[in-house]
Amino acid sequence: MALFEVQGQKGIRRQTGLEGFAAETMQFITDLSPVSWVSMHLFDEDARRIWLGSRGISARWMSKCGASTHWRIRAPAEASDR
Amino acid sequence: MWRIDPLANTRACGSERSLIGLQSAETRCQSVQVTRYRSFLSAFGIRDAAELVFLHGSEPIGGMSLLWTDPSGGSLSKDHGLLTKLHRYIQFSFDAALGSHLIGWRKGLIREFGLTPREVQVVEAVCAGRSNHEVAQELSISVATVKTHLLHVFEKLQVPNRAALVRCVLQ
Repeated sequence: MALFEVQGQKGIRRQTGLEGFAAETMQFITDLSPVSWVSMHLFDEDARRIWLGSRGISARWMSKCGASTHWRIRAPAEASDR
Repeated sequence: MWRIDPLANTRACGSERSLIGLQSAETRCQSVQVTRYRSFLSAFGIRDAAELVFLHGSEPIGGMSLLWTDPSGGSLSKDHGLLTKLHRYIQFSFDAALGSHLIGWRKGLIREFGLTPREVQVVEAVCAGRSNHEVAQELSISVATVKTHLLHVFEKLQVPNRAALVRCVLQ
């Protein structure tokens, strides 16, 4: 899936375009099930998780675990702020 | 700790299951790893965890990590039936979203650069890291035809080589 190839964890990458779909889906599943925290991702060809979004997840968990298990795709404008 | 995550795709993808919990992960990972991971999760108040896996064709394309924190709430064992039903619906939606996303990407290449559908297929394969030989096999055409398509694509996108092509398409 070429669109989701990752070139480097710190690199500039494009949005997948599926973030909106992910947000709706996560709301759907938290509305209909007792799940407390949910995050959604794509898999690239090396089975790495490409971050799409999360719902309800604590900042403490994200900083300790979520950030290290997911690769983030940054929009060019966001990346240029770095 | 993420290195021993029993729900990581590299460990989960062989199971051919759409809903994977920590309990079922014990069959693929060392039990001590799962116990250690459960202990790690409990430090954050997480009582249970599971992974929904979505396929595109036969390949795992995406997933959803589910975490239960509410002591009076559910767990995978309690919510398994409901989540299995929800997985079917989300898989259907995922296919639709991914399909329209890729169609939009293809339409963009055709509209903006005047690529033919066959040239788009070659571009997709090249961007996925395939060699000319592999592209030829995948599309059932000769290597010479692949090279011809690529020359046309280079000209239309005004790029000098395949590395520049990949950079141009993905940016």
